[in-house]
Amino acid sequence: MRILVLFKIVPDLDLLQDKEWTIKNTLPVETAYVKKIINVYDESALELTLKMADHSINNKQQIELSAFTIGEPHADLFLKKLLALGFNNTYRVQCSADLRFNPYAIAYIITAFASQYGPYDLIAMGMQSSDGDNAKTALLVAEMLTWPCITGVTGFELRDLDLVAVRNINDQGLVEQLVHEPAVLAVGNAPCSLLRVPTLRDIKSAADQEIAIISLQSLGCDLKKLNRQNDTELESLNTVNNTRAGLVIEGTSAEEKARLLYEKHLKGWLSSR
Amino acid sequence: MSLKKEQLIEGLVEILGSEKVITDPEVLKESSVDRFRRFEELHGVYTQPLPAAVVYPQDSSQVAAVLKFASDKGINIVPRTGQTATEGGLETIVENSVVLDGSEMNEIIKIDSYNMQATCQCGTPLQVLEDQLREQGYTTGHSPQSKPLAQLGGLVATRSIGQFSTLYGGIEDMVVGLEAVFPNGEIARIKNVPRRAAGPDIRHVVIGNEGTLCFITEVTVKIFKFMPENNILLGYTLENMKTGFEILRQIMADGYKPSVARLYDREDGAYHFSHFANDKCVLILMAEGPKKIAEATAEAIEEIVGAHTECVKVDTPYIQTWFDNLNWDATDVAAERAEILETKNIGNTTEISADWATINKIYEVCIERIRNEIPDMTLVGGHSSHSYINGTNLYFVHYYNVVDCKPEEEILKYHHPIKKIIVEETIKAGGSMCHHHGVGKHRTPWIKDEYGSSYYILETLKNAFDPEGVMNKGTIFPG
Amino acid sequence: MKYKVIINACSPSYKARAEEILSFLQEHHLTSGNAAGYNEAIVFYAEEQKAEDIINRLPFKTFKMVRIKHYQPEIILTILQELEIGSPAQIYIFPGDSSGNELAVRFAWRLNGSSLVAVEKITIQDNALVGIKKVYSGNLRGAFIFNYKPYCFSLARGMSRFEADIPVEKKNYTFHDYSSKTISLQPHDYLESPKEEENKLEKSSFIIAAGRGTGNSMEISRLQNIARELGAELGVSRPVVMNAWAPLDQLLGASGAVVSPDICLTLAVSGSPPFYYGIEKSKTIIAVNHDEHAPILKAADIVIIDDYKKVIDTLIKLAADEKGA
Ligand SMILES: Cc1cc2nc3c(=O)[nH]c(=O)nc-3n(C[C@H](O)[C@H](O)[C@H](O)COP(=O)(O)OP(=O)(O)OC[C@H]3O[C@@H](n4cnc5c(N)ncnc54)[C@H](O)[C@@H]3O)c2cc1C
Ligand SMILES: Cc1cc2nc3c(=O)[nH]c(=O)nc-3n(C[C@H](O)[C@H](O)[C@H](O)COP(=O)(O)OP(=O)(O)OC[C@H]3O[C@@H](n4cnc5c(N)ncnc54)[C@H](O)[C@@H]3O)c2cc1C
Repeated sequence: MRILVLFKIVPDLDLLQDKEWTIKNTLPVETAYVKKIINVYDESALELTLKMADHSINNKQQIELSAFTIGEPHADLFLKKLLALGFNNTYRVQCSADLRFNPYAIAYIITAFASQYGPYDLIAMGMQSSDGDNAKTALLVAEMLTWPCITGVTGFELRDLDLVAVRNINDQGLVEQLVHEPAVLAVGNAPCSLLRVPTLRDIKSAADQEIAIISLQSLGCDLKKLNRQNDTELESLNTVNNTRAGLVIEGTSAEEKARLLYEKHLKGWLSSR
Repeated sequence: MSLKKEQLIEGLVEILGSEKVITDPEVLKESSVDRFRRFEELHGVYTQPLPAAVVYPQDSSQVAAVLKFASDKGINIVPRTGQTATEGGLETIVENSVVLDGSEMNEIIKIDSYNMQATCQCGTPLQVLEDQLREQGYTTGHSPQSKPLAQLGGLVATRSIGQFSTLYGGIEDMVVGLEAVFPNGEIARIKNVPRRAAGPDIRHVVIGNEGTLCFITEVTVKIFKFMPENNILLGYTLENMKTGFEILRQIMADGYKPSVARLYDREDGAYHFSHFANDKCVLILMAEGPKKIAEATAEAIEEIVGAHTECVKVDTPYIQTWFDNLNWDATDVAAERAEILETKNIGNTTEISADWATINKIYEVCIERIRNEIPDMTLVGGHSSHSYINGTNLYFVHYYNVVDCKPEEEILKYHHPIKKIIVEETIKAGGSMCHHHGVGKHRTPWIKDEYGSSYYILETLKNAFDPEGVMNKGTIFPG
Repeated sequence: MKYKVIINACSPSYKARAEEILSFLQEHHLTSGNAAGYNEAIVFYAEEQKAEDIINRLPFKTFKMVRIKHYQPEIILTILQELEIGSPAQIYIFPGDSSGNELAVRFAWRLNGSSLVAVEKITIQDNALVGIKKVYSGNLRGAFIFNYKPYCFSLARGMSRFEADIPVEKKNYTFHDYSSKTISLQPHDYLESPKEEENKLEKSSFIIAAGRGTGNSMEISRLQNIARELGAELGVSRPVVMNAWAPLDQLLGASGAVVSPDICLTLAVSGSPPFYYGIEKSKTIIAVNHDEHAPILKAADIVIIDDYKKVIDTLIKLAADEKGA
C-alpha cells in the first residue's frame, strides 16, 4: 500500500496583527518574513496518515509513506522531520514561482508527479491552504487522476488491502464510509491531529535518507504554460473591514461590568424572547 | 504539627474572613504545584501534599497576622502572586501548608513621573503597570516573557529579568525601595532613595528570597521614558555560537548597551525562526533609548558584527513579527497544555550564567551530554539572552517525548537528570546554576556547591529571619 | 448570460442554501431569467425523500428534479455532465456548503470551464465574469477573473437569504429518475449514515461563542450548561474543536457554521478573521476578552475588557435571580 501525503509550507498568519493587513493591498502580499508552519489541514493529513500507519503495523500490512511538497528549500527542514517520523520517501519539487492562486498548476504538478513516481493507492492532503484559500487543489487532483475524492476528512484507517474506512464531515453531518482505492482524501478540521515530534535519535537515524529534489522540467511541467492555463486569475486585493462600534463597558470590577451589560443590553432582550 | 487542620483554618478565617480562605479541593490541588510538575497535573496526578488552604490577604497587616500565626503554630507558608514559577517554588511539600496569595493586593499606588519611580502592591501584574506607564510615555524597562501573567511580588522574589535587561538591568537594578513582612509579623519598609552608603544594601535580603525569608507586599521601581519610535532591531545569522559569544563580548566590552542581545543556537533558532534561520545560529540585537544613542549603538553594533564575515544580516521585518509575539499569556499556557496532552511532548528550560571565557564550554558539554545521556529528547538547544560586562547567561531549552512512563515518573526519568547535567557542569566550570528563574525546590541539592564558603552568609539570613522555618520549606534551602 | 443553479436537496439545509442563492441572484439582478423560465435550477434529491416536499419548499420557478440513490458527488457529477454537456449554460451557481464547493470545482473541470469557491459577489462586464471572495484566511478580499466558460462558482457560506413563497401552480418542473444509475467508479459504502439534522447554531437567535482562552474541556462543558440555562447555543472556535473540548458541529467560522443570531456573546476569543467570518452576520456582537489589544474588541458592538469567567458567572447569577423573582 503506497500512500502519498501532500503538504504546503505557509506563513503563520495568526502571528500578524490586523494593522499589517491594512497596507498590503498590493499584489503579491509579502509574507516571507513571517514564521513558517505546515498548513494546518496538511499537518492534520500528515498526522492522520501516521496514526493510520501505527495501527496497520499491528495488522502487519505493508505501508509505504511518501511526503511531497512544492516549494523552496526552506521546506526541507519540514521534510527532514517527516523522514524522522517514519515517512519512507520525501520529495520536493523545486519551484520558487508564486502559485498561491494557481491551484490548477499545483494540481497539475502533483498529478504529473503521481503518474511518474506512482502508482499510489491513496493521496491525503489538506482541503485548503491558509494563504490562497482556494479550496480547489484536492478536488482538481482527484479530477485529473479521475479518482474519487472524500472531503472534510477527520480520520481514516485501513480495513482491508484496498479498503479504507474514512470518517468525514459533509453537509449531512459526520459520516463513516468504506472507500475503495485509489482515492484522494481531503482533510478538514480533524480533532487531535497535531503532528507528533521526532526524537533526536529518530532524526539521527534518518539523517542519511535524502530528500529527493525534483525539477519541474523533469515532470514535464512548463510554468509559463501553467500560468497561462490557470482557470481564474487574481486581479486585485482589498482590505476587509470588520470594524464595529466597540463600545467599552467601564466599571471598577468584572462583576460591575457584567451587571451593566446585563441591565442595559441583555435583560430586556432575554425577557422579550 | 501541633494544630489540627480545622483549627488552622479557623485561625485563618478569624484573621481574613471566610471569603478569603479557600479550601475548594480543586483549588488546593492546583495550588500544590507550579509549572515544574505540569505534566503530572495535566494528567490529574497530584503527588505533593495538598495545602490546607489558599488565602488572600488584603493588606500588609493581614499578611503580618497570617505570618505571625503561622510562625507561632509552625505552619508552612508558601507565598505566591502570579503563579508563573517554573522551578517548584510553589510546591507545597509540607502537609497542611498555607498558600499566601498576594494577587488581590493589586493597587498601583503612585506613578511619580517627576522622580521617575512607580509604587505598587505585590499583586499588580507587570503588564497592567507597564500599560499604564506607556499611556503616559514611560516604561519600567522590565519585560520578562511572562509579563502578562507575572506580578510584582513574584518578580522581585525570584530576581527576575526581562528581555531588555542588557540596557535596563534585572529587577535588582530597578527596585528602589519596598515593603516586606517577616514571619514574626514585623513590617519593614525600605525607603526610596537614589543610593545610600549606610551599611549593606538590605534590599538584597528581600530581592530573590523566593518567599523563604519574608513576604513582599509593596515595591517601588524606577521608570524610564518610553521611546519605541527610536528602536532599531538588528538580526544576523551565523555559523557558530562561539562567534556569537565573541560578538556579544565585544559589544559589552566596548561599552555599548543594546536593550536586547540574544544569541540562539541552531536548534533553538530553527524552532523560533523557521522562516529564515536555515540551520544557522541567530543573533538579535536592539538599540533603544534616545534617538542619538540608539543610532550610535546600532551603528557600532553593525561595525562590530560586520567584522565577522560569517554573519549575514537579516531584514528587520523577519524579526519584527517574532518580536511582536514574544510574550506568553494565559491563552498560550492553555494552548501549550493542550499540545502536551496530545503529543506527550513537553519542553522545559534551565538558565545558568558564566563568564565569557567559560560560557561556550558549558554550552558545548551540556548539549553533548544531554543528547547522549537522556532518552527521547526531541530538542536540545539554547540561547543567550542577557549579557554583562564580564559574561552572559545561557538558557537551555530541552524538549522530550514522554515515553513508557507514568505521569508521576516524568520528572525522575527526564527532567531531573537533565537539570543535574546542566547544574553540575555549570558549577564545575565556575558559573552560576540559576540565572533568573530562582532555585525553587529542584536545584536545592546543589545550593551549597553554588555558594561554597559564602553559604554561611545565606544560611545565617535564613536562621535569623525565619527561625521557625515556616517560610516556603524546601525552597532555596534544602528541606 | 444564461445561468443555472445546482441544488443538493440531500442536504438537510438545502432550503436555506437555496434561499441564499435566490438572494444572491436578486442582488445581482439575475432573477428575471428564472421567472421567464429561461434559467433553471437542477435539484438532486435522494430516493427516500418526498419530491413534493422539496418542490413546495424550493423558492424557484423553473427546475429539474433529479432523483438519485443518495448523495454521492461522483454520481451527481456524472449526471450533471450528461445533462449539460450538449448546451451548457454560461454560469453555474452552487450553494455555499461543502458539496457546493466540491461540485463547482469538479464540474468546471469536466466541462473545461473555470471555478471559484466561496464567492461573495460577482460583476459581469462584457461577457466576462469577475468573482470576489475572501483570501489569506479572510484577512483580504480578492477579485478573480474567470478565464474559461462555463463559469462555475459556489457561494460563500452563510450569505443573506431571501425567503420567497411561490405557489406550486406557478412552478414549472420536470422529473428525472437516475436512482438506479451506477458508475464504474463506485467508491463509497456508508458504514454509518449521516444524521439528518440541520445545524442548531444556524437557527439560534442567541449564541455564546467560546474560544481557546477557556482553557480546557471541563470549562467548555460548564459553558454548555450555562448556555442552555440562558437559552443560548454554544459555538466554539477552531482550537476548541481541535483539542476535542467540543464536538465539530459546534465550530463557528469559515470552515464551520456561519450564523446570524440577534446576539453573539464571545468569551475568550481573539477574533481572527476565519473565526469572525462565522459570526459577522450577527446583529449584535458582545465580546469579553481580557486583552485590550485583542482584534475582536474592535469588531464587536459592545465590549468588556476583563476575565470572561467573572463576567459570565455574574450574568448567569443575574439571569437566575430574574427568573426566580
Ligand atoms: C512562559 C514563561 C516565561 C517566563 N519568562 C521569564 C523571563 O523572561 N524572565 C524571568 O525572570 N522569569 C521568567 N519566567 C519565570 C517567572 O515568570 C518569574 O519567575 C516571575 O518572576 C514569577 O512571578 P509570579 O508573580 O508569577 O510569581 P509566583 O510564580 O507566584 O512565585 C514565584 C516565587 O516567588 C515567591 N513569591 C511570590 N510572591 C511573593 C511575595 N509577594 N513575597 C515573597 N515571595 C513571593 C513564590 O513563593 C515563588 O517561590 C517565565 C515563566 C513562564 C511560565
Ligand atoms: C485555513 C484556516 C481556516 C480556519 N478556519 C477557522 C474557523 O472556521 N473557525 C475558527 O474559529 N478558526 C479557524 N481558523 C483558526 C484561526 O486562524 C484562529 O487560530 C482561531 O480562530 C483562534 O481561536 P481563538 O480565538 O479561540 O484562540 P486565540 O486566538 O488563542 O484567542 C484566545 C483569546 O482568549 C483571550 N483570553 C484568554 N483567557 C481569557 C480570560 N480568562 N478572559 C477573557 N479573555 C481571555 C485571550 O486574550 C485571546 O484573545 C482557521 C485557520 C486556518 C489557517
